[in-house]
Amino acid sequence: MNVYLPIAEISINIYLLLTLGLSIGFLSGLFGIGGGFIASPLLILAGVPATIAVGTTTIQVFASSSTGAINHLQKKNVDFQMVTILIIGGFIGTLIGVYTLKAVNSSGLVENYLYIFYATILSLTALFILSESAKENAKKRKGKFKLHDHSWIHGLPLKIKFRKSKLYISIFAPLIIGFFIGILTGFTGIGGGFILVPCMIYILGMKTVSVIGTSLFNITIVSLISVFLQVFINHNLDFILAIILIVSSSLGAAIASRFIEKIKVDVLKVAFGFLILIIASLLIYELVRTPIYLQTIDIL
Amino acid sequence: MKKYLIIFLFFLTLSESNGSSFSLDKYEINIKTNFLGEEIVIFGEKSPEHDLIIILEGKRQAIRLNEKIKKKILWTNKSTQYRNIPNFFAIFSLPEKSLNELFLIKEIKKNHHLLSNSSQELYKIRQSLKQKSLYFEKKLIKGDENLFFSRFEIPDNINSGLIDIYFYKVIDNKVIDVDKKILKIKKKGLIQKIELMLYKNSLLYVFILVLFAILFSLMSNYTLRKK
Repeated sequence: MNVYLPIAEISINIYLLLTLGLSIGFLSGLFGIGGGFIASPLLILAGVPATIAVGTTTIQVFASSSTGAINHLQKKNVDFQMVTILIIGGFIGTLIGVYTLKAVNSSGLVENYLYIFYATILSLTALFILSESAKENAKKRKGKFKLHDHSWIHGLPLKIKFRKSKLYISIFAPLIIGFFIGILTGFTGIGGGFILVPCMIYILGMKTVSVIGTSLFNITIVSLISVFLQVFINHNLDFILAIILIVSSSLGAAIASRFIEKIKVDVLKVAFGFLILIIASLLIYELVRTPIYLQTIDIL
Repeated sequence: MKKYLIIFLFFLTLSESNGSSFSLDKYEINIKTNFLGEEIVIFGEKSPEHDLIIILEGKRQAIRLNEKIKKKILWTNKSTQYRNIPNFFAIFSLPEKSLNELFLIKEIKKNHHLLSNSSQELYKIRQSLKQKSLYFEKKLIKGDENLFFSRFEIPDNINSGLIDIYFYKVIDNKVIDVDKKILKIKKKGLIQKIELMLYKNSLLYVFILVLFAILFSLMSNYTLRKK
């Protein structure tokens, strides 16, 4: 059974979309992520135009992160000082990202850029997560464990105290991180949790207890900003596709919550790293394989 | 059933006349949420003295032709924009004519610039439209007593707008008469409202989606999650 997507102007199998949504929701529930980095490329691979896939993914990211953000807000696990700075950086980044998407789309190279962007960012993140997991395991075995090392980011000026996270760092550190995550959200539809969380732990040195809440709250607000900007600037959010994705991914995430306690955190981290690596490999394959059609047409 | 009754009645009225004429079983297509494309029947009567060429041409608009080019190991796009290209194009003929034969008819080449054999770009555009089922060449099926018909599909990726239908009577590669009709493609119901809301009332569009996202994810969270 097919459903017509009014903004994408194509009809697509509803069961394919529901399966995609359920899988995205299940994986996002299992790994505690927004699922945008899976949703966006998979929708493009399923035949949804690239810009529509990016725009519509942002509302799915908002839906999947908002419930978690509310839960963490109730448990007071959100560092408001940190999240305010992240959102300021995120707002500027998202604005740039949305306009970049508009410019790249009009050049006709949006799929190339998105595939290269996704493949690069996902491969790097996967390698980072896997190497950090390996390092942590080695340190745990040796008996000395240090959460993060001091790097150049701790030498930046305008340092302030983040009471909730018990940190004394420059506001430029979260501002820069928020800015890059914002660009990512605006340009690719990704919430950026899979990059933000490692950055908060390994670069900023935040405590794990407030990392998830702060990250989810930031993703919720930045994806909400992105939803507004995508609709007003790019008109690339498909209503019907969004409803299908919201419903199926919310159900998938809820189902995943019944499995999550049965899986060890270490195993989950490694599995997450490999999952990202598999998606990156699929995208790289799309870039190197001989295309079925050597010419395609876009009606503007 | 209704479609065939219309065709039957049309044939009955035509059997009295000697000229050539044509009709469609419908002149309006509504795009709704369950739109998967639509089949249309084109039918009419042909006088034995001349050949028939029917051309369906959609709205002319800007298009982008993306050509895949291999750079070292990566396949990338090389994009070129063109203006005034029909978003839908179909050719029917009786007796069946190849594209090379159509190129010989000056009036048709002049009226439908997509039908040019001099441009490699236009050939590529025709091929790309064909991949999306937005371009095809079909023969008209000859029935009894100079009657003809053919079925074709308006694909689900069609843009809303008007499709002009030209009915050419041709003798010795010269057009002796032309008739024109219009097929309307309209977005209707929920689809039309959604599109209008996105462009005219974007704030409400976002508000409804955001509200739905919050409510549905909260609802599924409270009802399905493990307590």
